Formats: sequence, structure tokens, C-alpha cells
Amino acid sequence: MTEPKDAKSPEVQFDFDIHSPDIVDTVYDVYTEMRAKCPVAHSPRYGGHWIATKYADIHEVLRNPSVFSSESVNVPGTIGQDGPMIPLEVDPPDHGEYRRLINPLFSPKRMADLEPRIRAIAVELIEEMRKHDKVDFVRAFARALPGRVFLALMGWNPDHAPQLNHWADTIVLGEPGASEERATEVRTAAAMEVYTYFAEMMDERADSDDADDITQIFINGTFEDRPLTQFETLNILFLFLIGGLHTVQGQLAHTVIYLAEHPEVRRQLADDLSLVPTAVEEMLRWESAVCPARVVKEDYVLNGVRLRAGDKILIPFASANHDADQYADPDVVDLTRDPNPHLAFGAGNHRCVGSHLARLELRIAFEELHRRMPDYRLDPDDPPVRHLSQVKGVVKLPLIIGESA
Amino acid sequence: MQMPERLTAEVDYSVCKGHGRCYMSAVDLFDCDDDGYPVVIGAATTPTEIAALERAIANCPERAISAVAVTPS
Repeated sequence: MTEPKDAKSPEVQFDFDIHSPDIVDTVYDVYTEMRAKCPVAHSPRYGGHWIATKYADIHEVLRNPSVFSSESVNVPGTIGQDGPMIPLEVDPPDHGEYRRLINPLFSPKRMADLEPRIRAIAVELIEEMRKHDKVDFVRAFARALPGRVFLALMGWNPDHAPQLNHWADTIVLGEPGASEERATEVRTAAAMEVYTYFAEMMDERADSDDADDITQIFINGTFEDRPLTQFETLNILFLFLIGGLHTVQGQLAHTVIYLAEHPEVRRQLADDLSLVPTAVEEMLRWESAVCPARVVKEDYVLNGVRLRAGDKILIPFASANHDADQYADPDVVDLTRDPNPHLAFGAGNHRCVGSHLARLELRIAFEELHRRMPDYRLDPDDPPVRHLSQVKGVVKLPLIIGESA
Repeated sequence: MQMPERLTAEVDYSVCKGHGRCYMSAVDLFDCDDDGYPVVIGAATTPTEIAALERAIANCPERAISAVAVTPS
């Protein structure tokens, strides 16, 4: 029997920095190299951490929460939150108790009731874009849609969307190019403003008598038999904001970049909108934004490599979803791909609680964009700007409307 | 005469996390409850239904679904 490798083994060393601007355009090649050379790799960055890149290994990590704890999902360890993001950074059994409260808020049936409002917001934004020859798709649509949908879900003032988006972007990105200390400072300041805003919104709606109002559901919500504390409620809302805005923004923008660069694929979709459901899944597979971390709670051998209690491990969903052992032609977009059991929303206990809402937003956006605005292209003189981080995204996406590449 | 094969889905609810891929893939075989977990509502007999069931099984990120042959009584 071969002795497992460990953090000192030369063959597992790989200098990987999830926040590095240098690999933003090549990260898929980096993952391909890691899957081939060292599928469970050790990076010296951020005090040293692991990265798993194979579908099977990431799947194993996700579905074993007693070994791979979610008590801290970030590298470095904070994005400015005060206490754990609930329920993401909570382990069983408490995790299940929170999810029992939160799952119904994002159930497919509740989301279906939101569909007309989401569609109205999407149509309004698209019709505004169509008045222009060139737009920044991130500002005009990708950022605006999930912010306004979040506020519609909460029943809060839609005019707050730009401020919410600003906070969410700051918390995810820190201050690109700045030192780790400065980035943490900026994130913490934004997070404090978010908590204050949420507390104000909760106070404002404390006396509303609409029992379906999410604010009321939190006020009446219980953990086991006691009421939720304000601390818990604010940390749940914080997660809704972080989970719901920047992720959908990135997914929409990445999809539009791909379809702008591949007019034949875009036409296939525009000509047959019945492809939208599988197209949504394929683009989720193709660009999976999220790369969470887990904390190893006991010594564990993962794919021949010994991890030690206390270690941290990154699990980039994007790498799992481009694994040739799981997918035929993983680097080809096939809008009809089925089956497609991608891990864009994770798996196991922490399956993205907002996945049903995200899918609905994406489906409506894919449909309305390609029904109303089937032609668009990139501007070669003004290319899109992407960013990495643990939620990959797009900073700016200049788009020429009404023309095709 | 051989009876047509009849397959029903079995969901392992200790593994299912409510992704919803099954009731998106096979609407005649699965519905969802108020929390987003699947409810098996039908069995697959026609080739189309059997193909839909196979897709639902293969799309499940948790590998929570299996097909069980039902003997007609």
C-alpha cells in the first residue's frame, strides 16, 4: 500500500492564489493543470491551504460535513462578517434547524409566485438597454436585476438596489489590488453598513401585519423553541445578500460574454427558446462562480493525500464542472447537454438555498434577452473586465446592441 | 404474455438536498413539496417516461434517486 502524500510532499505543491488578478483569464487552464498533476494540491498562500480540483473529490468533501466543516468558508478567513454567516457557516445539527426555517422562503412554489415581478423587472431593464447602441451590461442588467429581485423578495424599497449592489461587490471583492489588511478593512466597513441597514429595515417593518412578509417570518421565526435573535436574523440576511447578488450578476455576465463571442450558439438559443432550461444548466456548469472553503476537522485521506485537522481546503466548483472524468468534452458548451449533474450550487447540506430563485432569474433573463435583444457583440476596443476571488465575476462588460460578431 | 416494464423512482431522503433537478427533468414522475423536496407522483412505463426517469437519476447531484421495477399485481 502506498503511503498517502501530505502537505510536505513535493508533488502536491502548487502556488495557487484564488484572489490573484494574474490568473483571472486563465484560471480554467490552471485548474486543468492541477487536475492532471496534483488533484489535491497544497498552496503556500494565506498561511497554507489545500485545493481539490476533481469532481469526485469535491463531491466527497461536500457530502461529508462531519470531516469538512463549513465553520469558515473563506480564504483568508473573513469577508467582514460579524459572526458566522447563517446557515452557510454553521454545521449540523444547528444547520438543519436554520434550513428548516429558510428553505420554505426560497421554495420553488414561492419563487414561482415571484415570476411575474422578476419578468417585469427584466423586461424593463432590457427595454432600457435597447434604447442605446452600447451599454455596460453589468451596470445595465447583470447587477441591477438580482439587486431589484432581492428587494422584491424582501418587500423593501427597490430604490435601494444600487446601494445593496455596492455593498455586495465590496464585501466579495475587498479592494482589488490593495493589501490583504486594507481589503479586510474595506469589507468590514461595508459589512457594518449592511448590518445597520438590515436592522433599520427590520424595525421599519416590525409592525406590518402581512404574515407572508419575510421580515415577519424572521420576527416570528424560532430556533428550536426560542425566537431568533437579531444577531441571527442579520447574519441570515447578510448571507442572502452575499449569496444572491454577486453570484447571479457574474453568471449573467459570463453567459452574455460567451454568447456574444459565439453568435452561432446565441442564434441556436434565440431561435428555440425551449432550450433555455438546459442552456441555463450548461452555462451554470460552464462558469461556476463559487469557490468555497472547508475546514478539516479530523485527519483524512482524500484521493491519496493526507489532510490534517485544522487545515483549510478550497473546492472550486468550476473545476469540478470541467473535469473530463465527469463530462465528455467539458470545454465545449452544449446548450442541450443532459444529463448535467453540475455542482454550481454545491451539494450536500449546504446546497445553495437560493438555487431555485437563481434558476428562475437566469431562465427569465435568457428568455427575455434573446426574445427582445437577440443580437449583441463585444467591443474589441473595450473588452470585458473579469475578476477572480471566491465568487468569480465580471466588473464591466461593454456591449454593442443590435449587432452580431 | 410478458407484462410491460414499470419503473418507479425511489428517493433516498437522507441524501436528497432539494436541488429540484428531478422535478425539472421528469415533470410527470416528480412534483415538489412546499420546502422544495421531491414527491414521487407516477411510475414510468413508456420509453419516453423511462428515459425521463433515467435523466432525473443522472441529473441528481446527490445521486439520491434509483429506479425500482414494480411487478404488476
